[in-house]
Amino acid sequence: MKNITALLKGLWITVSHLFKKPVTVQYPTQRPPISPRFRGMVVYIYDSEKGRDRCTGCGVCQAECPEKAIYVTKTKVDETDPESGETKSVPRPDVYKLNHNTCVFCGICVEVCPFDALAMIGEYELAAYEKVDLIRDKRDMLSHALPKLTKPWLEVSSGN
Amino acid sequence: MLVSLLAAVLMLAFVLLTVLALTYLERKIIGHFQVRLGPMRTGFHGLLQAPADAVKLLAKEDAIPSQVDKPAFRIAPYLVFIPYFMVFAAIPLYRNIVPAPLKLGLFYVLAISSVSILGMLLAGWSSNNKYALLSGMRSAAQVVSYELPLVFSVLAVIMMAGSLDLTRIVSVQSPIPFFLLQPVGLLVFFASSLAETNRSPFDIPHAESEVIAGPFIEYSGMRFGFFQLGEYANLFAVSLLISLIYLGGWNGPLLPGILWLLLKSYLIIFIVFWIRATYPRLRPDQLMSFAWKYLLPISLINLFITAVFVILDLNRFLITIASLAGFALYTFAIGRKRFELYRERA
Repeated sequence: MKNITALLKGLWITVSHLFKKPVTVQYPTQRPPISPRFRGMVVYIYDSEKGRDRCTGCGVCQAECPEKAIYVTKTKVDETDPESGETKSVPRPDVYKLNHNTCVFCGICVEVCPFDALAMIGEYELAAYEKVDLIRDKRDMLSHALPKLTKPWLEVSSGN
Repeated sequence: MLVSLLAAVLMLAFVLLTVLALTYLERKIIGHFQVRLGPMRTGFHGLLQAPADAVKLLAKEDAIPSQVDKPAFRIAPYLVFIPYFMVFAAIPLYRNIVPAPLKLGLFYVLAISSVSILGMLLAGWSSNNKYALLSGMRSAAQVVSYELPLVFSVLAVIMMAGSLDLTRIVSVQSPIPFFLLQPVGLLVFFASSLAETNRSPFDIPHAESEVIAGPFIEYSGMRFGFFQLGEYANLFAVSLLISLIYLGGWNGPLLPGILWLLLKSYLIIFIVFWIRATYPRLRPDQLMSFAWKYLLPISLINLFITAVFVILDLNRFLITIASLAGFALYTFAIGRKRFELYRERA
């Protein structure tokens, strides 16, 4: 008797699932919600208010990257401060490259950056046809970033 | 001559269409059981999935592995496919809608449907593959052992109806369908036909996790498609048979008879899918002991009780009560025995 009720209980459980709403997300047309702290593509932030880079090319990200995916070189650039109007020679990155082939999306570069010049956005479709396409320089990282840089990330990256 | 040929062609087309519908329905229903959607991309809610699969199978390269026994390998799919479709020749869809009205229809159906096990065995043997051979053997053993309780449970119905003619068996049920008089018979028949059709929980020959695809492992393209067609046709045949001999066939109020028959058989098919979504697969030894120690004695008890009551010509509902009592007693006795064995071991 106990065995028979057990069998019926099993049937009841499955049939109760039959009328539940399917959990499937029809991927390319529907997308699951991305949490604001999702560690997706690394982007380089250009300070559009002040019209200049935030990065000074200090190379902390390069030093801290566990996968050696970042390559930075520093130069001096003459820049005019929009507020005071005086021109100064400031350190800026000459070459900034991030290799998404080896990047493990640990987020250490974003965390250690003293100038909040890096951020991670909710972009996760990073596939490319050529490996070379995954080595992104400053301009590529910017162009990917600008339309998709969501608000929470701007707040997090410029909050402190 | 021409009329029966036309009937045969129509029946074949009907069965093929049903098989296409069944492959789609199974994927869709199992999907929803697992809180998924099932096929969605081909056509509206994946409605074109079955034709797309058929086209894919037809367009595939006809690959035959080099080490197989070629003549046997080639003929095996047809040996499975043809008997399963021959069954439909004697299955009536309504009083006079039957391609071949046979006096011994039920006997013919039961006999022909077990021929295809030869094809399974041949496929397993000729594939020159250990998994295929193993599962070919397994399915042969399974079908042979489940044939007995199946036939014995049908025999009780035949005694009550006094005929092997399926049309007559249905017309006998017009006030009271046989599932009320033969509940134990229905249970035994349903369980054994699950095993006959290699459906879960008796899908040991197919067991995806151990023997991959059973005897069909070396097959691809349309040869594999023929096996699949045969399997689904067999499922449909079995569900038609259950609704014909236990659920009263086309007897039913309001709706036209043929619709009643199809409704009943689709209900059976839904239950088969439901069971597949619910129960795990048995082990081969559990499968064997279930057939020989449980289903066979119960079907014999049922047959004996039915025989006695039919000869004494007592009230028919007494058969229901007596067979259920026999079923309960046997189950209790088996449970007691197992308990004793368990205590001895402990």
